[in-house]
Formats: sequence, structure tokens, C-alpha cells
Amino acid sequence: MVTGSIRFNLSRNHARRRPDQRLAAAAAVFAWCLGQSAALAQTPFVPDESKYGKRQDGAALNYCVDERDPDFPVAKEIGRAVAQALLLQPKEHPIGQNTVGEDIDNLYRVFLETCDVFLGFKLIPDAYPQWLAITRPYYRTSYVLATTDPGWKSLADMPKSAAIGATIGTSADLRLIQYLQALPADQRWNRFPMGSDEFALQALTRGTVSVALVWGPSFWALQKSDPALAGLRLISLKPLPDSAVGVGATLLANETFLRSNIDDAIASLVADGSIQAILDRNKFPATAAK
Amino acid sequence: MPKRNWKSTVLSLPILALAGAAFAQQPQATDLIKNLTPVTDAMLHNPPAADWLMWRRTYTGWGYSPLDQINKDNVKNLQPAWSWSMSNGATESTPIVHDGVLYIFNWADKIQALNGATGDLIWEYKRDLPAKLLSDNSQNLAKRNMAIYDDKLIVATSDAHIIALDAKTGKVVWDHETADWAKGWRYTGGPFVVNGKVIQGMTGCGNAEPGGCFITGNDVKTGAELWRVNTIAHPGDPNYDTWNGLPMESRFGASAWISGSYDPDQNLVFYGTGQPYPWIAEMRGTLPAKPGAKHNAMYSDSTLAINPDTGQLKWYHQHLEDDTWDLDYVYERLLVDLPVNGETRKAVVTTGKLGIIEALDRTNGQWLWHKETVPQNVVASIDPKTGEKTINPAAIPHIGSTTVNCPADPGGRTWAATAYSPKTGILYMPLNEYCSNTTPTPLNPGEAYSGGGRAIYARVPVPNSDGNIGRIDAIKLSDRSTAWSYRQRAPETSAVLPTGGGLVFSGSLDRWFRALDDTTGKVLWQTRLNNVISAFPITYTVNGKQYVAVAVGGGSSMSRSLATLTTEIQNPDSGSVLWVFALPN
Repeated sequence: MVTGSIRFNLSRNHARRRPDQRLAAAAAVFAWCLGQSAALAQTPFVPDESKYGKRQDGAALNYCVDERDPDFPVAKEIGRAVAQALLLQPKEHPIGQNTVGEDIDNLYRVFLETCDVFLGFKLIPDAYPQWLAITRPYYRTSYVLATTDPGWKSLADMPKSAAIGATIGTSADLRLIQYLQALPADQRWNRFPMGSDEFALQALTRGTVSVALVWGPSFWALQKSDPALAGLRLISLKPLPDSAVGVGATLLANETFLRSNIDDAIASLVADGSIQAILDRNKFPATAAK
Repeated sequence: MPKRNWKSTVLSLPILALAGAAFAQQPQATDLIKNLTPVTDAMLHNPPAADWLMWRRTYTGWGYSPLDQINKDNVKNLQPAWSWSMSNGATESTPIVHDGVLYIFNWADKIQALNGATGDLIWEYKRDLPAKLLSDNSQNLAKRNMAIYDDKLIVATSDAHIIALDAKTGKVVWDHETADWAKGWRYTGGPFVVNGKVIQGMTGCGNAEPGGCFITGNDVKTGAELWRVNTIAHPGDPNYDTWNGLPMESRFGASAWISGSYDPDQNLVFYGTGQPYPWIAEMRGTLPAKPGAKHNAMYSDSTLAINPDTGQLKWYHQHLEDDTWDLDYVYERLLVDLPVNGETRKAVVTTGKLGIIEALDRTNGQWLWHKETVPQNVVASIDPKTGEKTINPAAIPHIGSTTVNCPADPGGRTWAATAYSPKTGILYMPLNEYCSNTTPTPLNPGEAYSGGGRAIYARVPVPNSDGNIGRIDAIKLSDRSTAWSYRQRAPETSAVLPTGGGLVFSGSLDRWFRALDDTTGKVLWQTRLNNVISAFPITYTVNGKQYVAVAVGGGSSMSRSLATLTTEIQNPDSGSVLWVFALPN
């Protein structure tokens, strides 16, 4: 484990803060934790919002991680590292249970009830409501194209009669749609939208589709847990454009001071190699976000 | 799966008897329960005027009551008779009243039996819902209606069960799990009972579980599921090839989230369906159209005529092909016999979110006529013989751009039900005028699709709006003429209730509850309540005295959406209440 003190001691990057600055920042975060109110305009409707007060454990960073996210083990380690970088006690809150999806409005209750910051959110412009803010990314990863075909090196090798199973509505899926629409009708691959990465990969193993366009971390996690997916391999997305996306954390938009400090902590953890070390240790298909 | 437990709290009837002693002229709870009669098929076919036994009171879906004790002359004297605080949360309920007992569904599946004359609690059932459901911010813990039959109150629950409660005690008689709530299946509409079958439509459609939604028929005695009608064409269905070549794994939606109607003469149930998921057609793969492939996505946005005994689909009519705006055709089906071209036709009349009234022959689904109401730019024209709609291509959303469609996604008419008065021959319609700047948006990468939209709908007033959003239209169905149109700034958010007293009750976002003259639209009485009125008003009698009841409360996604158009109208965050009005003694 990379502890906060080791990481700070190893830090020699000129862009990073001096120790006295770091202590001042930590003290300020402590003060914020004591005094912060969760009241925000234009927030989602929570029938029993009045029962929530402010958290009193100002010496801790309460961070949430989603058990359903494929990067769950990685996010836990990153959350711990961020807390320690801020000289706060890490308090981890796994969220998710057994429901399939989540309305983004439900995050508001999670912030009221449980956490200061929620890890595992992808940086997409204009994809979040105004009451939410996103930190800087701590890693970058991408969508991948899985197939059972042994000969194809990229999507370009796939016959036009074959079908792409694309997890519905992702940014990569939307780029695929736009790419296909730019082609003459008789030169388009079939695109079959699938409800989830898991459904897309299952459709691939059943032969309903010939390739599956899925989130790289999902492929990583599902292939580890499902032997039926062991034979799948990845090919290049070309001619589709690169699909790399930064991943960071989210918090309430009025938590500007906390966000600033978390951004600084992430920058430090990236610069000193801590994030990349976490990714490498988990063999996670991502790179630290420079 | 989390454990599910149920508990039923049956309050002590003797205590209520003491409490009621001060109201000697009022019926006692004990007497009401003792005298509660079983609800028979005959009652459902011809409900007593004193009762409100199903969602829209009659199988015809009219939402009309013949009661006339409260009328145009005396409505000015209407005053609160009693009120009852309800669980805080989205409140979209239709009370059921039988033999003086009023049953009400509270947010998050608390059901109560109240003395309809006094508001005294008789019993209460509280379902022990999974914690994850309770922490969900969405409105799916509200229900629009329940059903009553024999000695049972039938309820569709938030965790996708259908249950029967003893109407006298609130104890669970049977409990049937229809689907797994954790996968996104849920109920927001409620059941009705036909020929001993509980007819119920599924909402949510399992998010992106392949195959879409369905309508079920369950045995009212045991809860056992007897049949299921899929609302999306499955393999073997003659309309399977209507999804632009998509496999079953890629077909989602067609939610059946509003209760239906029943024509005993033909033994047919009429049910509506919603749009395919996701709402943007380019995203779900039904656009662009592949050469030679149909892409109308059957049986979305359709009227389904179903035999309630077998689940057999007798006929269907699709009102909107390949819906890409969230403009459902799921709402109430009104069964009215109408003059058409010199002959009387047995019609089923429905109005989708587009606000276009559409009439079909209910014996065979043949198109009869249509009439437009609110401004809309989605349908360019309608074939008068077939009802086939020509779509305005400029209104179709495209990935990477913003388009304008009118009305916006909550609809020119929302789920707030229309109603038909046989006394006036008029269809009364709560309407709203607005448009949407629609921009398709991607999911959070790596996130599972969890149903619904995938677009930003920025709601704006219609071009050249005079500032009025809300409106009630009165349309004479015999000739489709507009008898009157009542307009106001505040969006209309409640169903309408026409009565034999010549009144039309209605509520709006600004908390005003009104009685309008059914022939002129003149406001004859109004009162301001504690919160937005986004439910279904009813009327009933106990011991010969007429009451008008309406549940209010914030949190409904429909009223929240409409509120973005009139930000100057502020309502409290909390406060769900059942209001009951009557004339002074």
C-alpha cells in the first residue's frame, strides 16, 4: 500500500506543494468537513431531506465506491490514497447492492447520507447535472472491441455482413452510430444495441454478433469472472476513432474547496507514480492520467 | 435477493369506536367494516353511484360520477370535511371507496382504510420494501390506482409484486411476485379486475432486459399468473419483423404503465403501451431504416385489445410508429358509442402525449377520426382513412445535434387523465402547451443502460406563447367541436372529474383545486391546497352525503418537469395530504 507519508516523502516534483502548504491544505479540509452544509439549489427531490444534517467526522474523508463498477478494487485503493494524501482518515463506503442501474439523481441522497466524494465517474462534457462536480481524472482508459474471430486485427477486417454488438448509449456507441451514418447504406455494418457490457459479450459468445464494443474495464472484470469469455480477444477499433476517457470522482458542486484539494491530491498521486502503481498492481487496463 | 418481509398493522377497532363517539351522526368504523359487502362482478359492471370501485370508476374509463348533490348552484359552499396526512413523497393516487370505506395508497406502499365520512383510520398495511428501493429518488414508489373485488383490495407493489389484502383487515391474503425489482421491473399503474382476473401492466421493462414489458392476467382468488401478453413482438409473432432487423436482445421498452378499460359486450380489455427504449431511435437502432426492413417497433405506442380470459390479442392499432420523442400512447381508453358518418360506432377513444384525440372502432381497431388540441410539430399529417401519421422529419432527434419537438416528453397531455361526461357528451382534457429542445446524450461510460431516455429535454414554451401553459379543453365527441377551453399560466397536473352536478373538478401545479362549469368552463369554486395536485380526484357518498376527495403531494416526475416552465410557482418540498370536501350540514 502506498501511504500518504511515504508518497509525500518521495515527492520531489516542483509542481507539487511544499509540506507546510500541504499541512495548511489538510487543516483547511478539516475545517471544511466540520462546517460544510449540503444545501444546494436545483438539487433532486429527496422526500426526507430534512432529516439529514452535516457529518461530524471532520478528520475523515468519506469516499464511496460502487461495487458494481468493474474498477471497484482499483477505486478502493485510489480513494484510500487520496484520503491519505490529504492527511485524512480514509472511510470507505461501498455502494451499489444488487440493482442494475442507477438514476444520477440518486447520487444526491448518497451524498447527503454517506460520502463526501464518489469515485469512478467518467469525464464527459455536459453529461452531469449542475449540482454535481467532477474532479480531475486519475486514470484514462478506453472502450475495446472483443471478438472470437482468430484472424481479424481490427474492425476494418470484419465483413460488412457481420454485426457489432454495442453497449447501448455509451459515448463509443454514439461515435459508432455517427460513423456508420456517414457511410453509404450498403457499406454499413449492422449495429445491435445491447443493454450492458455483459449482454454484449454474451451475444458475442452466442454468435448473435461478431464483435462487442464494450468498456475496457468491464471486459477486464467480466473475463476474469466468467470462463465462457476466456476465449475472447481484443482487436483494434480502427477505423473508429480512439475512445479513451478520463475517470475521476464526483462530489457536490458547492464543495469547491474540497474539490480543489482532491484535484491537488490526484495530481500528486499521478506525478509520483502512485496511481500507476495501483493500476499495475491490479493489472488494470488503464494509464495514470497525466 | 434481499429478504422481503411483510407486516400488517391492524388497529384496534374498539379504540376507534370510542374516538368516533363524538360523531354520533357519522358512521362508525366498526359499522362500516361490519357492513362492508363483497364487491361483485355486477357491481363492477354497474358501480353504485355512491362508490368509486376502480381507477376511472367504470370499465368504460370515463372518470365520471353521476352524483349531483354538489352542483353548480351550491358548489360555492364546498368546504373541507376532513383531511389526512399521507406519507411524504410522490402522490398520484386514486382512492377507492366502497360502502363508506375509503382506501388510499401512500408513497412507498403504505395502504390505509379510512372512514370515508370522518377520516378515521380503520386499518393500515405497510409493505416492508427493500432498502434500496426506499432510497431511490425516482417516483416509482407512487401508484396511480388499486382495485377491489369480492373481499380483497388488489395492489401492485413497488417491488413488482401483485398482492391481495383483506378489505376488512388489511391482512395479506396472497402475494405474487411478477418480476425482479432489482432488474428494473416495477409497477406505477395499478390493476383492474375482469371476470375474476387481475389485469395489470408492467412498468420499467426491466431496464435493458431484452424483450420489453408485458400485461398479465392473474387469478383474483390465488394470485397465480394465468397469461402474459408481451408488448414487444417476440419470435413467432407476426409482427416480429418490425424492429429494423434487430435481434430480441436489442428490443426494449413498450411499458404498460397505465391501467386499462373493458368492454363486456365483446369481452375485450383495452390497454395502451408506451414507447420503445431508449427514446432516441438512432440509439436503439430502429433508425436509420435498413433497406427493406420495417422499423415501426411493434407493439409500442399501440392500443391492444385483449381477451381477459385467455390473453389472446384480438386486434391492435399502433398510434405512433418508431416513437423517438417519449410521446407515449399509454393513457386511458374511453369506451364511447359515437355517431360517425351517420351511424353509431362503438368507439375506443384515447389521447397520447401528442394531445391528438384518436377514435377507433373498438370491435376491430378500424380508424375512425382524430382531432388535434395543443400545438405540436411531430405529426405533419394523418391519413383520414387509416390513421397513418406522416412524421415531420425536422422534429426527429439526431445524435450530435439539438432538435425542437412539440410537445415535450411529459406530453401535451400527461398521465393526468381525461374524462367523459355522458351528461354533456364532452371529453374533458387537462393539457399543457410547451416544446422541447432535445439533445441525445451518451451514458456514463461503463455504466449500464437503465431505461428511459438518453437525451436532454430542455422544455420551453411554444413559439409565440402568451405565457399560459395550462389548459382544460372540453371537446364534444359527437362532432369534435370545442365547447370551451380554459387557459391559465400554471400547468394542469391533475386528472379531471366531471360529475352529474354539472361540475368538472381539476387541480394544477399552483395548488389550486377548482370546480368548473361543465358547459361553459367558468370557474365556480376554487380553493388553495397545501401542495401540487397531481393525482386523480374522485367523488362518493356516505349515508347519502356527497364528498369530493383528492390526494396532493410533490415529487411526481411529471409535476417536477412541468415546474421547470413556471419557475415562479413555488411549492413546498413536503406535505402529502388527502383532502376531502363536502357541503356544510
